[in-house]
Amino acid sequence: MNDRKIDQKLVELAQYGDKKAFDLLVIKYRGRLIRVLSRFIRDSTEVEDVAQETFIKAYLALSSFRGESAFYTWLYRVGVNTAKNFLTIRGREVIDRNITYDISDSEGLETNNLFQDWKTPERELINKQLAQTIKRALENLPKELYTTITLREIEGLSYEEIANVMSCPIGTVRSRIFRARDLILSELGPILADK
Amino acid sequence: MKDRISALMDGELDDEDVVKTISEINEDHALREEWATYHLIGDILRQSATVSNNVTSNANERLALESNVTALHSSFKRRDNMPIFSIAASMLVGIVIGWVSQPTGLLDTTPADQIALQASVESTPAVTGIPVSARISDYMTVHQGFLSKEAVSKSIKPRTPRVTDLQKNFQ
Repeated sequence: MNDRKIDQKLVELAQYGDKKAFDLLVIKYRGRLIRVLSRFIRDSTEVEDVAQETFIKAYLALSSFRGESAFYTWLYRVGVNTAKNFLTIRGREVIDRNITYDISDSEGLETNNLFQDWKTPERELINKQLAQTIKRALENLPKELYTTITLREIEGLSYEEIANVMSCPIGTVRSRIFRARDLILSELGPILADK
Repeated sequence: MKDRISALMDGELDDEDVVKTISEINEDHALREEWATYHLIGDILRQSATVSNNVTSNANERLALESNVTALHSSFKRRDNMPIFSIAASMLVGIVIGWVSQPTGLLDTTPADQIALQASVESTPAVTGIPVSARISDYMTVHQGFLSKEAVSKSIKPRTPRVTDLQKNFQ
């Protein structure tokens, strides 16, 4: 099942009331969405606010998502519109931080918890530590694991494409990517434990 | 199970395992942490690569612009514009290398970027032994068509050999 179909499956589960399934989508796309929103809004705290609003809007509008486009494409549009609205309001100097949406339908959604601790200096320090640790862990990976994870995460190649590039079976690619992630994860353990 | 989470996030899991794996992740907090951390690792890797790609892309755009400007001057049959263009390009590549070398990201260059950057550096003649003021002066000389005469006369300190060469070329 490809990435789009997996997203569609998670969306369907969320449409049937499985809020944890939607949380998996939030976890999956928050980093990418924040990068997009950062092109519109400079202040990182405001970016995170808009990202959170975007996910809440998306959740509330999920029933209208029919899978005609990829979920991320749809989320991207919601995010850009939310950012534009945010900037329009700021442009009119109606900086109303009390903008509210009817989020009663989203009770139980963990989106708020996923964002609320991003804004503190302590969190920024942890993020720096995470980045440095990941860098160090990546550099210490065996060469074949380093190459495989880089081709997947940075170049965006599929397992089949990586298998062709590295002349190895797809199963080996899958195993190497998992081992690379797991080795990096083990390095992150102490930092995440302090979180 | 972790292996399946890794494959799921890459969209590479078999159909029959997808629903089962999602269900298990939803039920187990530790597995949700795995899902989150694997994505965090990917986000940080891609973020660093994006910084690097943006620098390369911006540099390419500026070099392309520089190339167009220089091409306009070729109609004047200047024979020494290529070395001067190379000076400007070298300065820009130096800036890019310096920027990329900053410890701002996790992966300062991707393998592809490193190859491209190396090619740029190798194709650009090294500029050594020329004072910075002279390089700027050369740069202003080749771009004087885009400036007022007054600005050019104020900006360019005449260097006899260069001016002489220029006059010969325009005759």
